[in-house]
Amino acid sequence: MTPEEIDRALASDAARVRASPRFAAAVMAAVRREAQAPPPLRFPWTRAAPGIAAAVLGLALAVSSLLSTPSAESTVQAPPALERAVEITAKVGDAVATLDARWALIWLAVAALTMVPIVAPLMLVSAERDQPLRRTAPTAHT
Amino acid sequence: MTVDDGAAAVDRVLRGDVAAFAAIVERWQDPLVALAYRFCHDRSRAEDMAQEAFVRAFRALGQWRREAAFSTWLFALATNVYRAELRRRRAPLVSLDDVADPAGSLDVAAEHEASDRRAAVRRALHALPARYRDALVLFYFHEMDVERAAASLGVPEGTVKARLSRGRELLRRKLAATLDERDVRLEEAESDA
Repeated sequence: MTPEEIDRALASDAARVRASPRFAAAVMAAVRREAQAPPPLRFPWTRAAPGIAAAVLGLALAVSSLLSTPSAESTVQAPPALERAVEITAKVGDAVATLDARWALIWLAVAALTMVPIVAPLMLVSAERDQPLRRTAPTAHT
Repeated sequence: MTVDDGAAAVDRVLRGDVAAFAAIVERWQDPLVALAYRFCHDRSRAEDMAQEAFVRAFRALGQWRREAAFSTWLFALATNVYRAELRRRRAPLVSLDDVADPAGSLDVAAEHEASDRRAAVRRALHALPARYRDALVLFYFHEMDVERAAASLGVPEGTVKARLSRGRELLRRKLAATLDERDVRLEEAESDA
């Protein structure tokens, strides 16, 4: 097949295709629907700005903490925050492992306290539901 | 509708006269459907794609900067819609190795040589990688105008020329192989008869 034949075949392709008679009406119906639709909700940048700023700041601090870690002579050294988290985890692990009664009581108390904000509203709601509906009595017509 | 008429209709639509968009649809419906058809080769789907292009154009009408003609902006927008649609719902592509189906089309080829060849070209075109296919589709749609094809694709003219050259070469190579094979099979069938 010669290049000219390919040219002719490609140029003639779909040359006679036209829109159907009802196409314009269908498009205008879709456009009217589009015009009546409420505008899309915009992202609440003003509300999100503090959170985004905090996230960026936190990321920057984490990066700077990583970059400021001395790496010349020592081998890999974890950032201070990570070291502190590991220390706390180790202490908790030790307390559990040795069954230290004092630590166990403290943790039980903390767990009980965390349940208070969950249980208290549930109790209040169930108490309200159990009470009969109080309707205002109709005023008597004399 | 002249370019100025297009601008006038756009202005009316932007002022809130939705009905004025009908003039734009009337003027550009055939070219946009024809361009969509070149991409998908399915009449019903072509109209769906063209309708989506018009709705997107209506939504983005305020973004037409008027530095280029309205038609240039509209075709670029429609091209993006069509390409995205093809990526989303990929047309049944044919492998370049299966461009022609000589065994299946023996009778048709004997009776309709020219249309069969055009169909082979079309199948080969749609088996090309998208970047070459899009360049060829738009180049021939815009009556071999590289500048308008480049504007519709949003790439420099040099890029379009390079893609056209490579796309044509790929087409030629595959068509030569497959059509030669088909001709050999046709001759064999005739000699058997």
